[in-house]
Amino acid sequence: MSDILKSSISELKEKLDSKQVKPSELAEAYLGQINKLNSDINAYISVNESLMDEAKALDSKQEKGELSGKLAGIPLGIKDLLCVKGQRNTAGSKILENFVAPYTSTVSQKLLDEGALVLGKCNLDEFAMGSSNETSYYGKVKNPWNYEYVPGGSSGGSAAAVAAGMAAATIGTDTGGSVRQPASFCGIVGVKPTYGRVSRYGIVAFASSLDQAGPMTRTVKDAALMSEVISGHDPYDQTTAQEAVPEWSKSLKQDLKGLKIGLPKEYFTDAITEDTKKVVDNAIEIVKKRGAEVIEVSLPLVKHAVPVYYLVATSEASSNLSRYDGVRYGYRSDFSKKPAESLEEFYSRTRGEGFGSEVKRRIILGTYCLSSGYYDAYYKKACQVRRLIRDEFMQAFNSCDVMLSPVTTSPAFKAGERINDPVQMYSNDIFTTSTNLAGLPGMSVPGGFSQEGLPIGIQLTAAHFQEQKMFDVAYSIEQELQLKEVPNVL
Amino acid sequence: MDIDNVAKLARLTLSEEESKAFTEQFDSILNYFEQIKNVDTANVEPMVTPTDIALYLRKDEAKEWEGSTQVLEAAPETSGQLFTVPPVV
Repeated sequence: MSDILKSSISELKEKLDSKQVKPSELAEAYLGQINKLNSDINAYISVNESLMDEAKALDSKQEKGELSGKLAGIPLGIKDLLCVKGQRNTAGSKILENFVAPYTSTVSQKLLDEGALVLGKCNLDEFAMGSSNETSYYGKVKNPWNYEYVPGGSSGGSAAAVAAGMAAATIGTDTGGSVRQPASFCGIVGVKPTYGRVSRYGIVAFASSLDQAGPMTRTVKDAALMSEVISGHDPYDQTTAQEAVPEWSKSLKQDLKGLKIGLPKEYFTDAITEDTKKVVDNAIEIVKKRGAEVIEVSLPLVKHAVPVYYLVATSEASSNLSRYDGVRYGYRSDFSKKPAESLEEFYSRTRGEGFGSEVKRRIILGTYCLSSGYYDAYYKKACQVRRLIRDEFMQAFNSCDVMLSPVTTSPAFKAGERINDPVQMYSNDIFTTSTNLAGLPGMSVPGGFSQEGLPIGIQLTAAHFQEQKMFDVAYSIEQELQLKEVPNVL
Repeated sequence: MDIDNVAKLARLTLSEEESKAFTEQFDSILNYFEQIKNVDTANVEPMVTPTDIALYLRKDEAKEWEGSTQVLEAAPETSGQLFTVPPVV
């Protein structure tokens, strides 16, 4: 079964189409791997209890030759931030510990409509707030390549699940790098689509003007395929674009002739480790070899991206998370022994007990930035700089098609190393947050390994709605490198 | 930062340890954020959403929905079709 767990979606589809394997056998194989590894890696918060029944229903369809859909019979994991009706949706928080989703998010529904099987809900930093998957109420996630290291975050469970063969692919969400950074740390492909490509309906909101869900996969083709499945206008999310969704997976090109690749000079700093630099330089050589022209571009204001991002994200989060008040759903403090003396106390005690430290820190920061007397200096100022950063990117995309850079300055760091130093933890997002501020599509594709054997990703960024060019560059890097290494646990 | 006042605005009870740790951390976080003050933003319109997509409007029509039972089941306490809270005054 090990070869199944290492297979891409495309390979699994071939096996399913030629009836070499049944959907229930696939589901069983992944479930087996989850049962074997989850106590160590902790990639899943919950497993779908009706999985095998759903898989067997697909078996009979397969027998009759009626297995249709772009993801028919493919077992996927979904970040525990996207609602799936009837399944628990915790957002990695105690405050939603017993919350069962009464409806299905658009992204999940689109996957189900294409015949996908949901293995379960993947672990994450609480409310997607974190870069190491150490803030989940349901425990840390470990990096399958080396358990001492973090898998990245916030979609750490989704990334670790794919890397360890605990899912054929997963869905994560990316607000400031939360798909790309864990994909890089775990040696898989991760995509953050253009803002507005993918519906946010039914996804627990963190920062609404930055959040986008995206696929985490073994191959670029799988990422392109899943992106086309989950994209598209949704009447339930008025920020989704009416733009047509191309079949990216069918148009992948390795020949990059005519394409201009920009290297943002501000991203190539001394802070980058030697190993990361080597891997990125190698990717630059590959794209040149494949016919692309490589030029330097400049984004002088991206040095402010992290502060602007944290000001915008915490402000939006403080507003979005005000809904958790213990009245209509979620955790409520026990008032039977010590009754609340005011409605404020009812809310405050519930929220104080229900949220973890990182979430509280961000709510406080956001509330402060939005409060009277500070709004102009913090929130408004950040929104102004945000516009300048976006304009700078749009300007730079007049002279190049895709930008290539590191995802982070270094590969995965050790668990516990940065958790008590928020500024150091936030600085980890230095190359990823600007993509979200500008609403651009971005992705991480595996580029190689550090001397310790930890994966290092390459970040690719394109102009709004130009995902195809980004996928082409990623595909050419992947096809040239032919990386075959997998974690020992697989 | 007057952390007790901000916590009150955010309807969030902090433990003493959290309050102490946050106060120290906010000093360095806000100090780190200060750098954006140097960016010239004269006459720049604040940008609250990153794309220029025209917002989509649909007809506001009532639709049948069968999830109301599950919604009520998700509440800590209900009474018939109502959410219940303990008396606070």
